[in-house]
Amino acid sequence: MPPKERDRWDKLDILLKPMGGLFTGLAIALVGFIGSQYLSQREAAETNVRLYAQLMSSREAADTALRQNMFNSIIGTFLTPTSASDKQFEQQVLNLELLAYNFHEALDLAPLFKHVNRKIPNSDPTKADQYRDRIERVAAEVTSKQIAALEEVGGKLDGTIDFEELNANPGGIDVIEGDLTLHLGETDESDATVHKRHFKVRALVPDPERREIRVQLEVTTPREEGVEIVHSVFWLGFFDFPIIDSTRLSHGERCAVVLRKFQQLSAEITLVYFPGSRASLKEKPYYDEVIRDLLRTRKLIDRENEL
Amino acid sequence: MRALTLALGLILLFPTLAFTGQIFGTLKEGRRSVGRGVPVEVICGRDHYPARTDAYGSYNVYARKTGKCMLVVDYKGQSEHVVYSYGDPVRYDFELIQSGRGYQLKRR
Repeated sequence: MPPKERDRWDKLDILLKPMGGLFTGLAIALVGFIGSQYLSQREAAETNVRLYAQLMSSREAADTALRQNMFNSIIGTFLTPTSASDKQFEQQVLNLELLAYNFHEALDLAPLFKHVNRKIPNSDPTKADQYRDRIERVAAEVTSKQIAALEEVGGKLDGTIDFEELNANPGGIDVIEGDLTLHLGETDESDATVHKRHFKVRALVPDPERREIRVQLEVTTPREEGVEIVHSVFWLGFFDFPIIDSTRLSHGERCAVVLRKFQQLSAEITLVYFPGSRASLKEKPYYDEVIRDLLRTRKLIDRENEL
Repeated sequence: MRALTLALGLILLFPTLAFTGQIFGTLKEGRRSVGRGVPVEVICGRDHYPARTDAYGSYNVYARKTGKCMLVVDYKGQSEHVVYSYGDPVRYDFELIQSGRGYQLKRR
């Protein structure tokens, strides 16, 4: 039988057979290379994340240890009995400044501030005003910092109390009245309306000697089933810090009233409205609030996934 | 130059003097800033302290006197609000709310 004449397909087959092996080898090498590259990149990223977490946690531990030592040594000076010498007052004011600047978000320093403020009249009369100015200045700075941090996530309303007007109206005068809305992350408008509240602050009685004002706070929240009202009456002084000393509202939210200035004729106050996540660690959220927050977060994630 | 040196020296020696009577804040109409160049004046008794807003609607006035004053804003007509100047800076943020033909200042 005469050999069959090879057509161009047969020739192509002869040529491509060894090429096929070559291409297969190349493909396997390429897949292996890309795979190993991907794995090594992922490993490097994981190592970086682990290293970063380790660094952060060791930095946090070192910072905590330093702050613990600092706190123990400073607080000790307030708890040991002291003489009313000028040096002791200077030391206590300095220690209070250190505590306030370093721990104002974690501790309620108001009792300590009030304690030192009460003792100031026993100090050297030529320096008493200077001590009072120093502790009021540190309190004002801490309050300003806290308000700046809180108003960014929430909102604020300012008001002025005219003491002439207040003395002429023994029933008190309205100082702040307005609506504030809390915007939480990616929350849409329908959720944002749920967090709209009406705030009203009424000044009742001033106490010029203690530089405090008795105020009445009323927070009204419209609900589907009616109106939710939170009502509170309290003394407001320079040493009530908003992150620490706030009024709890529903949905884990907070509001605080702060005294910013107090002079013979007038005083300035500010109301801040903010989410509970910004409140101090001292005030733990209620369990039902935590569960509601978790459910809301889950709902938001589900909604985002659907989109 | 001598006056500048003297002023700087005074500020360094008595830093609280530099902030006495400082009144600052922002002016908004709804959620928007009123913009640059809106005349703002603080009147304390016979003394007038003029200023203008910047591009963000912020103003800054050094009243140099403490006590009760009047803040006058000239934005599509004049509107005023009582303010107090203190020994250190005080912030007054206002929202301009249309009322009739003019505007009212509402503190925020």
